[in-house]
Amino acid sequence: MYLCGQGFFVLPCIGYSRRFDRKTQFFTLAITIMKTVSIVATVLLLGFLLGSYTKKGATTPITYTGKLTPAMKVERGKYLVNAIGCDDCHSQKS
Amino acid sequence: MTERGPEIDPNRRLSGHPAEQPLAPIADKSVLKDYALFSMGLTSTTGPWGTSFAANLTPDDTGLGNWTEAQFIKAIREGKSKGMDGARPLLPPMPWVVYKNLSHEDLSSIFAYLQTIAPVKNAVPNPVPPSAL
Repeated sequence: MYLCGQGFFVLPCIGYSRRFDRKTQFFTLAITIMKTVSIVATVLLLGFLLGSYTKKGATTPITYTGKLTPAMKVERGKYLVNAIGCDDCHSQKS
Repeated sequence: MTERGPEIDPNRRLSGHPAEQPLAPIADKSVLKDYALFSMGLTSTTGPWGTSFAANLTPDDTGLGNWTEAQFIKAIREGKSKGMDGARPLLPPMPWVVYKNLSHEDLSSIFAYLQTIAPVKNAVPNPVPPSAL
């Protein structure tokens, strides 16, 4: 670096500078490539995960709409009758 | 009545106070100032409102057999006997003031279940007013 400041070593200095520029370009290129690879990998990973999730959702759709079928209503009613204690007063005892 | 208390008769489940079971007269009515009295099977209760009898909830004609779901829901929501306007109020200890907060779907489900249990013929007596105790 010191010699590069002297007039006699212009060419070497230029050469050094060129080497320095090449190094900078190399590192810049390397960083750019690494960034690109990281972004592509992340996108691919997210795509894979999203694709897997979508496939699972497609094979097991959620069909419950909040409406009980007649059989479900009877089961629900049985549960409630037992839970709230209708038998306590309304059932005959021995 | 057993040593463990009253046990449910599975053949007469949810059929209300037995029609053939008369209640002994209350010898000292002064106790009603401080107590509510339950019969042995807990199907009838005597208090300031007189004597009330638990209703037959089975789908027999003497129970809920002729009821509609709308009647049932109205009975619970508004405390009206048979779910009819102008009918007498449901009497204690029926906690309809609590059950009226159940959702429509829950009340509908209870009615749906009660329509599936075994019907039991049992015409529950009418309530006895306090003056007739």
